[in-house]
Amino acid sequence: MKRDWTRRKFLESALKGSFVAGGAVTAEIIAPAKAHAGHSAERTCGVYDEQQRKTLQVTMDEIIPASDDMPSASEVGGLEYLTRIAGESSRVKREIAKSIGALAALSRKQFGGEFASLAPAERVEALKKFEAQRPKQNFVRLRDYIYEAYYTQPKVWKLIGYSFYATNGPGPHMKPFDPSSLERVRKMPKLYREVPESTARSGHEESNG
Amino acid sequence: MAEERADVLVIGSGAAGGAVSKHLTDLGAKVVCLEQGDWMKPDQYPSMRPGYEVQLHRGAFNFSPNVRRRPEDYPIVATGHNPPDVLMFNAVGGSTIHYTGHFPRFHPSDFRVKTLDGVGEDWPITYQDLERYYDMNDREMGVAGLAGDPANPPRSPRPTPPLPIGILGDVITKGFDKLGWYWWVSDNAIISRPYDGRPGCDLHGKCMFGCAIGSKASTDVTYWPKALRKGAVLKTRARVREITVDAHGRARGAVYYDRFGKLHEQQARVVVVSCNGVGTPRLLLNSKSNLFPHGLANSSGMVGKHFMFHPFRFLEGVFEERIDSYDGPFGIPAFSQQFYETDTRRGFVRGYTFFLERSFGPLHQAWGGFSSRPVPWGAEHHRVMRRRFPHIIRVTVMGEDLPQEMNRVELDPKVKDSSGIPAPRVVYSYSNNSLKLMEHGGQMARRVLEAAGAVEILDSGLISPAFHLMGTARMGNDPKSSVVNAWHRAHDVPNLFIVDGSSFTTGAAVNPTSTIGALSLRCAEGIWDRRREWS
Repeated sequence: MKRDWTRRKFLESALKGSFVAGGAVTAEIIAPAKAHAGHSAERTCGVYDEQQRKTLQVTMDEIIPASDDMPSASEVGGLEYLTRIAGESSRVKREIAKSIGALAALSRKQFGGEFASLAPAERVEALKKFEAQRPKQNFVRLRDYIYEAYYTQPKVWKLIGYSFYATNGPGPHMKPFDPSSLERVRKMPKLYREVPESTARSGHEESNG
Repeated sequence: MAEERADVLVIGSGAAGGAVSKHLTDLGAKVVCLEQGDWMKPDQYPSMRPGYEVQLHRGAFNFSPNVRRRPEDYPIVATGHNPPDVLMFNAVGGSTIHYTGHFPRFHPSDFRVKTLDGVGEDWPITYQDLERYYDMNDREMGVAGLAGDPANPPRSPRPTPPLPIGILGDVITKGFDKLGWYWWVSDNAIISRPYDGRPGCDLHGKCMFGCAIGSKASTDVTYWPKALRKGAVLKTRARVREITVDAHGRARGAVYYDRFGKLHEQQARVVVVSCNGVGTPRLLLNSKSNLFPHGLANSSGMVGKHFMFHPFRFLEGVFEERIDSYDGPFGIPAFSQQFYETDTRRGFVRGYTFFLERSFGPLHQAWGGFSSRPVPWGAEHHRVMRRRFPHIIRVTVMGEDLPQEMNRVELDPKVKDSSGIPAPRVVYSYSNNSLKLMEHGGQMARRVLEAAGAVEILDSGLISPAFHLMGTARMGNDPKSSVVNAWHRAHDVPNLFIVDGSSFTTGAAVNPTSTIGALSLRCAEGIWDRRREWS
């Protein structure tokens, strides 16, 4: 009898299989989920000091400004996002701090003041110099974290027309493949090379002996 | 502490280990499999969460073990002129957990590279030898596709109909039609309809971040549930330190660490190694003894040599119309083998496949997409992002990499995994043939994108994501130049078998998983047929 499999049944069954066949699920696999679920406001406080937060906010709005009917990075909660992920990962915290520290140093040295207090045109100029500075990773990491803070926001997705389909929910509608689109190709001559039988046989029958 | 002796010990539970274990269990063997990873829980897959793309930069589901650093992973050192980024997954199902599911077959000519084109080596088997195992593997895994493709030998009706090719497919195939070039809808190990107790694909995309519903055929949802029901034993978080041998030079079993770091020995009459093209030579080289001072099955010195992977070049065409290429399964919607077979007028031998591919979401696009061209920051950001997303079609060039002895996997003298086992070091440089072939591929991909109407083309150039790990314990009839024979039996050790990407004599220009599965089923039958010799 054909079994009536639903996604839920499949998932339940697969989960059961994991526990039965694989033994206890490791703490390492569960841990990230717990960390995610256990996020709370107090964990994000004190990740960066006031000056760092200010630099980060001003930087992200130069990297992704409000323009073309789109909000800036800080307007969609970019600062809160970065503070949260920095609170969850010491590596992320360290990398962001290193980048904004390098930007702050460049700003003071070449523009005579804190990055956040520069005029808008000077900020852009400072960021261009920062982008050209070695090591490249200082700029690239910061830019990429800011892009992450922006393009993981469902409110941004709505504005750019992106639909996210989680694999435990329904997927998009797509029209089935139309085999008639291959009519021309079906008539093409064979494209693969035949291998003569005499060449094809090279003593493999003996090899299991 | 020794454990009950098995008929067959299989090391590794991925595309090869799953197939070998299930088939031998069906035939009647008592199989024990050791897997260093764990079962993946579907509800932990990033594909179920909005932030899934973050895993491309960091996290426990990154494709690289060096980034992922799960406790079951081992570090991989890469060096040479073109050090590759070696990608794999360690879990029940191995790298089928994160592969795209693309399921092409080798061509007949791929088994006769030396005879036909004067390069590499011939395989000791033919396409015809493997054909029925390809079919068997397709049935076990579940494949969506369409028979009748003129670029490949005729094949049996596919178990489920083709997956949708989407707007992406409709647009790019017009370019192929305009040029009169060949294309075909791909075989994917992603079922389009309910099949064998698994649901049909719901077209979410994100297949490389784990298929939570089991439509993509990773061996943890195909071979393994059946093998376990038939009595196979699968021990997870079992990290093998070395294969042990008896006084007569026969494999005795394997010594492994359990999840608590306690050492065990699993003995067996026959040992099968299926740890992938990097993990397999690493284990053999780590299995030194008085009888095998240079590593097990390595009297020829060929273990670890001839490492191959497929060089890639991604070209992203930007189109005026919305493409929505993030919709639909990530397995390749369509492909072209217009330039697959050798034509020496092109200035190189062998060839490449075009994949007409989907993309991830907006974050990956902003980061640079597959062409590694980040969307600029500042005043131009939104304008450029809006132009590219969701307007991109990717044509991937995947070329054949010829076996070269200098490209190799060896043991790193310093780096070790968390159990103190020496880590592998991969040494790799492209051949001139690969460079020419990939340059040609880039030019032809550009032509087809332009023919399809691309208004801008972003080109990654030649890059080295080593998803397909091959050649490091290769098959051959000559014990001096190969590690295993045509039935995957080690030339040096009569009860040791090696089957996975490492067994490949040459790499062809197609994804290897379908061929790994077929070889594994054939290897299992060879082992069973000779069961009287197990001792």
